[in-house]
Amino acid sequence: MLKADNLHYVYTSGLIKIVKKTAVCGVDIEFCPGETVAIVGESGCGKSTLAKMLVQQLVPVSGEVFFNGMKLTGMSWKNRRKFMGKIQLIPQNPADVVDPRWTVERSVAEPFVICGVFSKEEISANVDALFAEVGLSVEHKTRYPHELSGGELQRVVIARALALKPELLVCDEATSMLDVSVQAFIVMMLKEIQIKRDLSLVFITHDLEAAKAVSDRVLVMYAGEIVEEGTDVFDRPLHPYTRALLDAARYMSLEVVVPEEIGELPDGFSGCPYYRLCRERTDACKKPQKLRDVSGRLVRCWKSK
Amino acid sequence: MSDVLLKVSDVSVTIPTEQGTVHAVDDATFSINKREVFSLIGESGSGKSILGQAIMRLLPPNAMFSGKVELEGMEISALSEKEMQKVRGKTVASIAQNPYLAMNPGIRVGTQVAEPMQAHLGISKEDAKSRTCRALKYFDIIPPEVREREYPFQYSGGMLQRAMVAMGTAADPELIIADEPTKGVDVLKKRNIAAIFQKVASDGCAFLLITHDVGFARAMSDRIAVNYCGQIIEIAEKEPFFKEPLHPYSQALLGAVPERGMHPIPGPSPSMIEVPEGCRFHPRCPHKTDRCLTNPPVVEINGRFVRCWMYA
Ligand SMILES: Nc1ncnc2c1ncn2[C@@H]1O[C@H](COP(=O)(O)OP(=O)(O)OP(=O)(O)O)[C@@H](O)[C@H]1O
Ligand SMILES: Nc1ncnc2c1ncn2[C@@H]1O[C@H](COP(=O)(O)OP(=O)(O)OP(=O)(O)O)[C@@H](O)[C@H]1O
Ligand code: SF4
Ligand code: SF4
Ligand SMILES: [Mg+2]
Ligand SMILES: [Mg+2]
Repeated sequence: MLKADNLHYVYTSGLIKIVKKTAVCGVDIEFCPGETVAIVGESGCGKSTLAKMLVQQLVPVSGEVFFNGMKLTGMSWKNRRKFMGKIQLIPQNPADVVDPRWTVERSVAEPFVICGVFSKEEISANVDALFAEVGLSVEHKTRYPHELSGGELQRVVIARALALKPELLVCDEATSMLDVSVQAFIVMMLKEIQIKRDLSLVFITHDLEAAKAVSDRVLVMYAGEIVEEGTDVFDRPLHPYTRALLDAARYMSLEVVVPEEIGELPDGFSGCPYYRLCRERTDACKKPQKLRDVSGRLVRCWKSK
Repeated sequence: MSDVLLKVSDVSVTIPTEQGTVHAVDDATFSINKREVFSLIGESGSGKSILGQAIMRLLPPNAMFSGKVELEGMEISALSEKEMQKVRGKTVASIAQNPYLAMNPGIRVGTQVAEPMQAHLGISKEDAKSRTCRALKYFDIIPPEVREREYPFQYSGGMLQRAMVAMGTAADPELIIADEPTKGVDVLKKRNIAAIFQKVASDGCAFLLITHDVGFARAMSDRIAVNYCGQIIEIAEKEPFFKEPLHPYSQALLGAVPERGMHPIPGPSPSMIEVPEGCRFHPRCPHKTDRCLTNPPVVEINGRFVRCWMYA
C-alpha cells in the first residue's frame, strides 16, 4: 500500500558555516492494508523525520515513496493533493497542525473546508462526530489550543487526522499526554476503524508495553537506520541495541550510562553506528553493517544468528 | 511538623469560558515534605497542570484562585507578583508540560538552559555555559558545544524535553514541579532523568511529579496522589498504593495499563463544567450506591486518604 525505498534526509543549518546532519539514512519500509506497525528507537534517531517524509511533509534528499503503486515523490503538488487525505500524520507537536489563533473546532473543520465538497451543515455534523469519537465534548469545541489540557489538545489533533478517512495513519507519540485509560480508549477506537476500513496504523512510540500490545510488526531504529525488524522482536530481541532497550524497560533500574564514558565516533566512521555503546563490539564492527535476514527477522548486526 | 516544605490548603481554581465555568481544581489539600517525591497521576484534563500552575502562580489570566499555598511557612499565594518572581526559578522551578510552548523559539537552547543558573546562582556567563554543556551532555544531547547553539526547532521532541529537564534542575531549587517530564523520551534516557531527579532529591530538593507514566511514578515516588475530575481522590504511600489502590477510580486506572491488556474505563469522561453531583466518579463506578449522590467525605485510613463512601 505505502512503500518507501532508500529514504535519506539531511538537515542543513547555519548561514555562514553550513552544518549538515543526517537524520535518516537508507530506510526501506512497506505497510500493508489493515496492518499495525510500531516504530521504536532512541530519541533523536530520526523517527519523526521519517514520518514526515512518509506523509510528504518533507521532501527526501533521496529515495522514493509510493502509494498504491503511484510514485508520490516528485509528483506535482496539485496531483499529490488527491492523496493527501489518505495518508495522515498525527505530529508529535500539536502546534504543527492547530493554529493558535483558531478555535479547535475550526482546526478540525479545516480539512473538510479545503476538500470543498461539504456543506456547512455536513461539516458541523462531521466535526461533532469526530469530537465525540475521541472522547471530547461540546465544552471543548469553542476553545483555543492554549485553553485545553495537554491530552485534550492531543485528541483534537487525532480528530483532525481522522477527518478525511485516511487509509494510512502515522501516530507520532500521539498518546504520550494521555492517561492510560484514555490511551487505551483511543487505541481501541483506532483499532475499530482499522477493522471497519482496513486502515494501516503506524505507532511511533517510546512506550514499549503499548507497542507490544498493539502491533503486528515492529521496526527498531537507531541513528537514522532500521536496525531490526520483525513480528516477534519483543519476545526475542536479536540486535544488541534492542536488547539494551528492552532490558532498560524491564528493570527501570537506576544504573545509568555515564556520558563521560561514551566515546565519540571518529569522523568518517562508517561501521556500525551502535559501536560507541555496544557491549559486544569487536573490530569486525568497524565495517558497514547490512540488514540481514536471520530466519525471518531483519537485523543489522553481523553477530546475530 | 517542621519537615513540611509545601502546604496546599483548600485550593480551588475555576476558569470562565463561553460554555460555562470550568471547575479545574476543587478543594485540593495536601503537603509535600522536604526531599519528598510526590506524584500526581490521574485523568487527562482533570486539572493536574492547572494545580501545578496555581502553585507557581502562572494560571491563565482569567482563572479565579482561592485557597492558600505555603512554601516553608511563607504564604506564596499572597505574595506580590514581583516577590513571586524571585521565588520562581530559585526556590520553585517548573518543567512545563509542553516544551514547544515553554521554550522561546527565537533563542538558542543553551542560552535558555543557562538563564536560571545565571539569574539565581549568581555565576558568570562562562561558568553557566560550561555547566549547561555538561548538563546537555549528561542528557545525551551531543555534541553539547554544537547543540547548545541550536534553536528549539532543530531538536527532536525528546531532546527538547530533556533540555527542559536540564533547565529545571539547573539552579538547585528546593521544589521542582515537573509536568510530564518523561514524555517523548526513550527508556534508556528516562533512566538518566530518573537518576538526575534522585540526585537532586538527595541534595534536598522535593518534587511534585505530574505524570501519566505509571511505571516512572512507581519507580520514583514516595507518595502518590490520584486526581479525577478536578479533585484529589486518593493520597497514599507508594507501596501500599500499588499493592492495593483503594478508590474505585484508582483501581480502574491501574487496570488500564498496557501490561493488563489496555482496557479503558467504561463510560465517558465527565464534563468539567457540569461536574457530576455527589461523587464525581459515580456515573462510572461499579460500586456506587444511593449515598454516592451526595458528596463523599475524605476518609483517613492508616495515613492514607481516600474520597469515597465505601470507606466511610
Ligand atoms: N528542523 C531541523 N533542523 C535541524 N535538525 C533537525 C531538525 N529537526 C530535527 N533535527 C535533528 O534531526 C535528528 C532526528 O530528529 P527526529 O525529530 O526525527 O528524531 P526522533 O526520532 O523523532 O526523536 P524523538 O523521539 O526525540 O522525537 C535529531 O538529531 C534532530 O536534532
Ligand atoms: N485557559 C483555559 N480556559 C478554559 N479552560 C481551561 C484552560 N486551561 C485548561 N482548561 C481546562 O481545565 C481542565 C484542567 O486542565 P489541565 O491542563 O490542568 O488538565 P491536566 O490534568 O493537566 O490534563 P492532561 O493530563 O491532559 O495534561 C481541562 O478540562 C481543561 O480543558
Ligand atoms: S555490529 Fe558490532 S557494534 Fe554493531 S551492534 Fe553488532 S556487535 Fe554491536
Ligand atoms: S463514593 Fe460511591 S460512586 Fe464514588 S467512588 Fe466511592 S463507591 Fe464509587
Ligand atoms: Mg520525534
Ligand atoms: Mg497537563
